[in-house]
Amino acid sequence: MIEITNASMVFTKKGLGKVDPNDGFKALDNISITIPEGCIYGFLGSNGAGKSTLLRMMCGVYKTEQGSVKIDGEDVFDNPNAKSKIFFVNDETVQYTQFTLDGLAKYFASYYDNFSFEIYNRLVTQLQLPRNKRMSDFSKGMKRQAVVIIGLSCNTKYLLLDEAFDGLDPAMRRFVKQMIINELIDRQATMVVSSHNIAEINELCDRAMLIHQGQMIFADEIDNIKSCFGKIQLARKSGAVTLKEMQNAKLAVMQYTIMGSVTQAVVRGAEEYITERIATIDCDISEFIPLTLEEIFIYELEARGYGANIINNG
Amino acid sequence: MEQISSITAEKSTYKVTFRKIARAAAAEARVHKKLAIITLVFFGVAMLLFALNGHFYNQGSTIEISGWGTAFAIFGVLTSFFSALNVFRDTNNQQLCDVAMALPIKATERFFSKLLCLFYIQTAPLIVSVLGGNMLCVMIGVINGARPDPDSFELIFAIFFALFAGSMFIMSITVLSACCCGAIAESAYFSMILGFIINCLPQFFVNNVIGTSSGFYNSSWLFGLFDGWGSIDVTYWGFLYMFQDSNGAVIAHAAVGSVISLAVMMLSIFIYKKRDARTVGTPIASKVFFELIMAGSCASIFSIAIMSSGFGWGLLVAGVAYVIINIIVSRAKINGFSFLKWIGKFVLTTAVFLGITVISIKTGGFGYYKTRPDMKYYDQALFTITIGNYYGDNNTRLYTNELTTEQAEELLKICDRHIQKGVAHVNPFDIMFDSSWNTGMVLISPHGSLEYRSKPSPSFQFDRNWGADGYVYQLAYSQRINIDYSDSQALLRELKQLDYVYNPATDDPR
Repeated sequence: MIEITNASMVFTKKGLGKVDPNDGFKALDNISITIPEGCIYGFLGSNGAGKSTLLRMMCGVYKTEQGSVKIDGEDVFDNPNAKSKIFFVNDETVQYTQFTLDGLAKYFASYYDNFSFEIYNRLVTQLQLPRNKRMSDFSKGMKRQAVVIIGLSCNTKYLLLDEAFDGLDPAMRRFVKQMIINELIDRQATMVVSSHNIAEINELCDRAMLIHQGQMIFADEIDNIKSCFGKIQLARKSGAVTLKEMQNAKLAVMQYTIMGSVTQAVVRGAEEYITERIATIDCDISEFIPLTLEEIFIYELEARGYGANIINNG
Repeated sequence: MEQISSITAEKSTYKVTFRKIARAAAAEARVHKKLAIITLVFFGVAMLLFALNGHFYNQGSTIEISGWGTAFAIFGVLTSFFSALNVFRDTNNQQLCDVAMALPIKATERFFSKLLCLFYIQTAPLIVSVLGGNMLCVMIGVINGARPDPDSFELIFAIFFALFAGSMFIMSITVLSACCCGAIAESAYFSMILGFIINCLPQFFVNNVIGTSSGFYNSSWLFGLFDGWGSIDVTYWGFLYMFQDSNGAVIAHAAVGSVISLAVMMLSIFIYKKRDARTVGTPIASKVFFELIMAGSCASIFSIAIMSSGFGWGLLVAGVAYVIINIIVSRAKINGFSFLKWIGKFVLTTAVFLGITVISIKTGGFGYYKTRPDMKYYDQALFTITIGNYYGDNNTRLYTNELTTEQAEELLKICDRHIQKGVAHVNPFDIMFDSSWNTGMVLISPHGSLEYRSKPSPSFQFDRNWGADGYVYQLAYSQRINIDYSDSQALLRELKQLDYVYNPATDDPR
């Protein structure tokens, strides 16, 4: 289990030494999540939200100055025991260009005691990647596949993927995802994946977290997240339903629009609760529409002003 | 499943072992094997040229080293810079840092595995080349019917140690810079600046500040620079050891230099393990290192300038360099306040250096002006004492009569008394800004033959001043020290009153 408790991360320009939490850019602010074993966890967030920072904290690339990041009860920073349970695939592949695929496998096998050449050989054969060609000659997608293969071959309990599917064509994307899932299910491992592709998270993950400007907005099972939001449409001949009326009906309105006599609103809450509250509003037609994860993402961020400036200026 | 359950064993203890370091080092070395091959080619060709040089292993002939061989050997040494920079690339490349820091290995192990990797890719090729070259030398020698020549072997050892120490020196400053900087450019040019400081500052400070203040200007007699036998030898670390005039001295200096280099590399761990990926990309990770380098650069330039052609141009060059380096290092927006801050720090650095120099001038090189060969080892002594101004106008030259040991000591004590007063009264800025015509001058030098009396503890007492037994019979040094003009005249008057000296222009010797 990965436990992140009140983790904050501040970037300063002062170099080495004690970091003052009030001096510098706060990339993460008091994040607390628990990632249970055997799940596939998705990190969602706007650009620069702190997803990669959080992943780097989880694999010990960044030292946690405030709060803690524990892997199976152990602090991860500079702790080989904890790190041996994690493999981190970051969002770039340029660092591997000087290797051949076999060379890369040997490199990681020197560090990960559980590296499995059996898995490696099997996956390389499946994906038909050249073993002795320098990775600088690989396409972006091939490099991604190669690194994912290495990550799976390291046989770690946790696999952290930072936008790891970028650069893969849709068919290969599907194939690689299936390959990962099969491997992880076989050994009941945990995967944490960050992506801007919400459909992918929706499809792949059983849990997700939304992070914005370093602060966590929500973290839960995806079904629970989806069940906590809904879109309602209310129509009234005598005039559209106002925001005040919806608020009086104790609806947590995130966003609303009025077009003629029709009011559309995005509200927080379970379907039963929302339906019950709508019943108290005087309207001719009412309808509840469940939101997709993508819509929740957009509405949550818009509610926090994200993208508003761009839209307004546009 | 079994594997996973073994991984999940909670909070098991972790031991840093050489096996893990060696395994990681081997993995790193495989990544950098091209550098190892390049190094091997350079050193290999160099040693081959040395071996094939007709004079290198030829008993009875003058030993000559192949020029091209030397050039290739120097290229081999210079690859240390690229090797160290590449092996420690995780300190300044975010992607490589992500990989390196996520690996299940402690920072300490990672650091030492990198040092071991440097040994594999840089030092091992040198050792292999030297061994191969020597074997070839011996074979050629045997074929030519020559017996092994001790001089050739000594030279081979000297070459090996010089190359080894040079390589170690470059690696140590590059590793230190890489650990203290977060960008590749800074890691590279700061290691060059550090190399400049280490090679220049000690010897120029000693020669140009302490040396001039004490009157023993550029005196290898006093400080033993380049000779390897002085009391203070500041050439142990850096490249200057290669200019020693004997193979034995080169080996000794190179050995000490290598130990210092190794220590510096080892000590860099304390900075390296403090770092995480946040410092990657920022030009300077350790502000202390940056400030020390900047102060050291200024002090080096000041030391070169201050007593040669004046402090003014040193101030200008150091000031411009200071601002330019700060502009390069500062990736953020530069404003007026930035310039004010840099100028303020430069002024502070200059003030500290000037303060130290003033103290040096006022104390005659921190009291070093008193350091002369001890008269008690001589039965008699003869001195020439010139008093006047720096440029020789209105100078008075006094010769001593033959002085007994006691008289020589008494004479020098009188000189010291006036020198002490004179340096206290002199305006140090006249000396620093090359306005020494405003000051007086005392030039003391022994002359004539001097009889060496006894040598109760030659290795200790005399080595300090003379270094080699062959020189102890000849008392030869020159001390020219700037003092206040009125004090120089007071010394002149007092010496004239004594019966020890006479003016050859007006008086006859006793």
